[in-house]
Amino acid sequence: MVAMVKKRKSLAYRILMLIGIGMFVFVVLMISAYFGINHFRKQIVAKIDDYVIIQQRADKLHDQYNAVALAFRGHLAFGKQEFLDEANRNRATFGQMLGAVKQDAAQSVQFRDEKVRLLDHVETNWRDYESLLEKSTMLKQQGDMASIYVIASERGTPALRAINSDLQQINELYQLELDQMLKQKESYDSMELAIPVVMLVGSFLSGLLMVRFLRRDVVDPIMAMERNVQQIRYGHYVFMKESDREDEIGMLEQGFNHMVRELEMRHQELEDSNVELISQRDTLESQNEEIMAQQIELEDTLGKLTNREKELELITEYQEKLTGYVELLPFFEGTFTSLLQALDQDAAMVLLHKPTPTNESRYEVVYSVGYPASLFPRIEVELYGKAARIFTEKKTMTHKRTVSEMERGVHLGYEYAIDQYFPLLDDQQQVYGFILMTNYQCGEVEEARQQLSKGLVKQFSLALFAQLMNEERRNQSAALAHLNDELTREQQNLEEQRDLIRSILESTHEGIVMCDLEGRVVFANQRMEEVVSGNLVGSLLTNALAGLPVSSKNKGVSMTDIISQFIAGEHTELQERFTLKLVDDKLTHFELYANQVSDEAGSETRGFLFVFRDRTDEEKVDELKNEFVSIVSHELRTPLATVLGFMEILLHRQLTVEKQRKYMEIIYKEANRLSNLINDFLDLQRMESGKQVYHFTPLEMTGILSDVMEQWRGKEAHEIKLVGPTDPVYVHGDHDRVTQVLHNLISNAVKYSPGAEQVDLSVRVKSSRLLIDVTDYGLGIPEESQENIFTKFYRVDNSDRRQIGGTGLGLAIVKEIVEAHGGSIRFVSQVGRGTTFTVDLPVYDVPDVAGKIVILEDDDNLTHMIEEALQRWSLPTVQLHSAEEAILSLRNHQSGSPLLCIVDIQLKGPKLGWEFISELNQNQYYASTPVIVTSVIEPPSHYQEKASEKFVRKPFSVERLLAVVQQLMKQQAESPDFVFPVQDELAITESLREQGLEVTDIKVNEDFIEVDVKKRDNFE
Amino acid sequence: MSMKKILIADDEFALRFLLTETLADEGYEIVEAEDGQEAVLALGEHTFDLIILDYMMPEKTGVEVCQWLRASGNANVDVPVILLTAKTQEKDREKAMEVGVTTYMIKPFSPLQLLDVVADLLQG
Repeated sequence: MVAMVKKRKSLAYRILMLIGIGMFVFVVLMISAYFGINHFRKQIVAKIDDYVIIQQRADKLHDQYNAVALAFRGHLAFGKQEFLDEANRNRATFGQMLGAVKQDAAQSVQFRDEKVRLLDHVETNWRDYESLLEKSTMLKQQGDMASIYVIASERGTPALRAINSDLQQINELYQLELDQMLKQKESYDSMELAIPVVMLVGSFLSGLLMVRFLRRDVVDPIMAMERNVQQIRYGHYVFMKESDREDEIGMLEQGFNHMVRELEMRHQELEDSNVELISQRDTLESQNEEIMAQQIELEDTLGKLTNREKELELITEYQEKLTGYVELLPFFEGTFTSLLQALDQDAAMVLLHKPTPTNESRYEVVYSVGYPASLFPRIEVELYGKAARIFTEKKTMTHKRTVSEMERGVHLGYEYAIDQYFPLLDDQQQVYGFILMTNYQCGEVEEARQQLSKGLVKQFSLALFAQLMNEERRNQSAALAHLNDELTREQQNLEEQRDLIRSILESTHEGIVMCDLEGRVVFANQRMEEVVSGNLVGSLLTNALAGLPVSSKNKGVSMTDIISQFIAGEHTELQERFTLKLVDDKLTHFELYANQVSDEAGSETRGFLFVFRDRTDEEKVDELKNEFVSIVSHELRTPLATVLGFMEILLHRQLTVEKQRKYMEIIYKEANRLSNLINDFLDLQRMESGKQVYHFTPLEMTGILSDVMEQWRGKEAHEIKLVGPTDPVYVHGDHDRVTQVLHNLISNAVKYSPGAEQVDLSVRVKSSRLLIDVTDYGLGIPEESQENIFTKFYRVDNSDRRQIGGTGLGLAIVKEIVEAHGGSIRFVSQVGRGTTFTVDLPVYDVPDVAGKIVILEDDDNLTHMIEEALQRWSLPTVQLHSAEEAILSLRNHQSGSPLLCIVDIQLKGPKLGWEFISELNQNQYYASTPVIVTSVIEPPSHYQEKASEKFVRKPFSVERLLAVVQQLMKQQAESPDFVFPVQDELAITESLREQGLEVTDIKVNEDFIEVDVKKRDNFE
Repeated sequence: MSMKKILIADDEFALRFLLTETLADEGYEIVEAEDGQEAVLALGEHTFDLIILDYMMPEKTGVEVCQWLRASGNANVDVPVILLTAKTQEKDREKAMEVGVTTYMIKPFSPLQLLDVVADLLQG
């Protein structure tokens, strides 16, 4: 119950309730308002709907009435029966409708009396009008129109007006009523729209109320509490004002006050106990002093114990050190000192028995400490005394002796020493060495010490033995690893070798098979397996080959038989040719070699090696060669047969003069043909074997073409036309051979266009290529022959061409020559239309020699040497190979003279170097150019050197040449003015400076530079 | 006795002329063909007593013409054939003999000797 009460009064509950109830009431209010308004609105809408029908009815009554009146007037005016019928029909309808409207009016809520009254009035007037109607109808039938007018004007019209005005009034009443209803509906609509606004305002107001409540009842008390807490932190115990609230805040206030009270109380208690503690501390301090005194006493006792402990520690340390070493030397270094310290000994050594590989005794001191270095030899072959005895007696021995002189150097001041020999026993209890320990200071060895020593040495012995074993094992495994490495290397070498041999065998073009003595294949390379198309290894070679389609050249004996005979030992060597018909019926020609394979001594046969060499290509070459010989033979014998035949007839028959002449003509023509054939054939042979010597010079092609054309003028029926540029175009070529090309092409064009009127030549330059077209309008080349027309002796065969002579070598020669000139030849042809051959040659760019050192030399190596030397002075050079080239360069570029010319006499072209020099001298512009003439042969006897022209006999050293260059350049420089073609001023200055000339003035003009110079004093 | 008719087939005008001159003077009637095809046509049109063929001719070689002739039902099927050739290799001769050439003559040949051979063949 208490909890319930508390809960009901809790703050959260209150807030929740407040929000809950508020929301609930608000929502209920809003919903009911909405539904109420909606209900009324719907009612009024229904009412309006009903009312509209009633109003329409009244409206229609008015219309009906008008219709009656209209129809009847129609009848009266026109006398038509159908108007009367319609009026009567409408009259009946009007009566019914009037009844209905009256009924509506009686039920209506508003203006009922007014409406009823008006309708009664209408009914009265209507009855009156109806009686008038009947009367008028009768009068009409009688034709008394005058009476009708009287009735109409006196009674009809007033009655109608009264009815009309009454009906109008009724309609107005209805309209008024309808307007009222619509207004009511509108007000409901606006109320519905107001609901959301009311909701919004209501929410805002309740929110405000909520905030105000929270601030007053929750926030303010909590803040007051926070302030109090701050106060308490500074020691002011402040209480909250107790309120009678029963919610969380009330509880909080009560709890807070309780806590503050508790804190105040505890504070007081702590202060009290503090005072008590201070008094207790004083008591403790006095007790402490007493304890300190006791501790000092204890420490004293402890010190006595420590010495014993140290001894034990040394032993432990030693024992610990016995394990944990891998290498022998660190093991000794680590353990031995500890052992000596533990046993209080001065020197010790370890001697091990290490028999030699041949099992002779051998003893080695492996470690020693504390003895003079030279006291013991490191290695002993034999032991004496106790050292020898210990190996057989296996027990510890002690020996007192006087200290030797050598030892005194290390252990000064002792007379006696005690040696103790401890045997080292292995796992078989065999002595494998001993430890010798020496003490230089005391007398007898105590029994207890002796026992301890024995124990420790025993431990040492076992540890050392293990160590030695390990060492041995390690050595063995290292040896094994080394051996393994070597084996691996060896294996790698072998594998490499094997791979090498394999790849050699696999990469050969020959099929290789190795057989054992029975003829079973032990190895076959890839190529061989391709030949037999299958795996050979393991099968008998003869079986494997038996299935091959072999046609051996050796008639009668099959290849497999030959191989069998060879394996059987009937022959020691085998060399056989045979042909295989492999896939696609292609013949593959093989040569088979076989050898016995013997061991290294050569005494025993190990197997047989068969090599199948594919000589199909050779066979083809042979065939081609035969065919060629046969063609040449045919070509030569045919004219020869004619010549000899006619000669024989001339010699043996009596013939008329005419016949003789005719025969002679044929002989002359055929002999000529034979001669041409031989010339062409030899030409081609020379070219093909690379023995043709070409004299390359720059050729001006338009000139050459004109010359060639000139030679053909009037020779044949064809007119030869040249189209092309008149500007000079140069090609680097051999004049005679280029001319030969043109003649051959024109000759073919003429020959293969019998009956045509012209042959066209055209010359074009296109991207540094000179293209010469030779076009005929003749037979054309059939497509199937096109690929062969450059083949030797190939002539297109068909009846039209039979009469056309020729060797069949012309185009082959043309092709050789053009290609030797770095060019190419191609053609387009159409049968019946003609053919165009196009020769494509690189255009020769005439080099510019202005401002450069011209090296006119056909030896490229020598030129290269000279160029390199001149580069030291950064002088630009240009190499020219022929005098023709050089002369052309001078004539073609007038931009400036060369710096200097180094001129060889024998050059590539037919012209000599002298011709170039005379060209230089004849031209005023170039005349002062310095020249160095170099030649193997002496200059002509009338030759004389000049100031600017020197002769250097070949062979010369580059230094000698450079000296002459320098001399000439210097002379040139001394002439007062220098004129250079435009180039880099700095480069000019620099190169002049290197020649000992200081530039004093430099003037750059549009296309030349004027330089004034001064000779440098220190230049030599 | 009527004139003996000889077919001469050679693509070289000069050689054909030589043969015609040599043989016509001796009173033989000559029909000329300029290639293998023409020779075949002539063999269809005429009946010959002797046939002289050049080996290397366009369209059909002498050997091909001879091969065709011997295999055909032509009226000239058994007429002797002289093959003139510049081919000197043994295998060429073998080939020619295989297809039924009667006499194989290597260029250059002696016209007088040819006359003897022709006379011999026509006798037999």
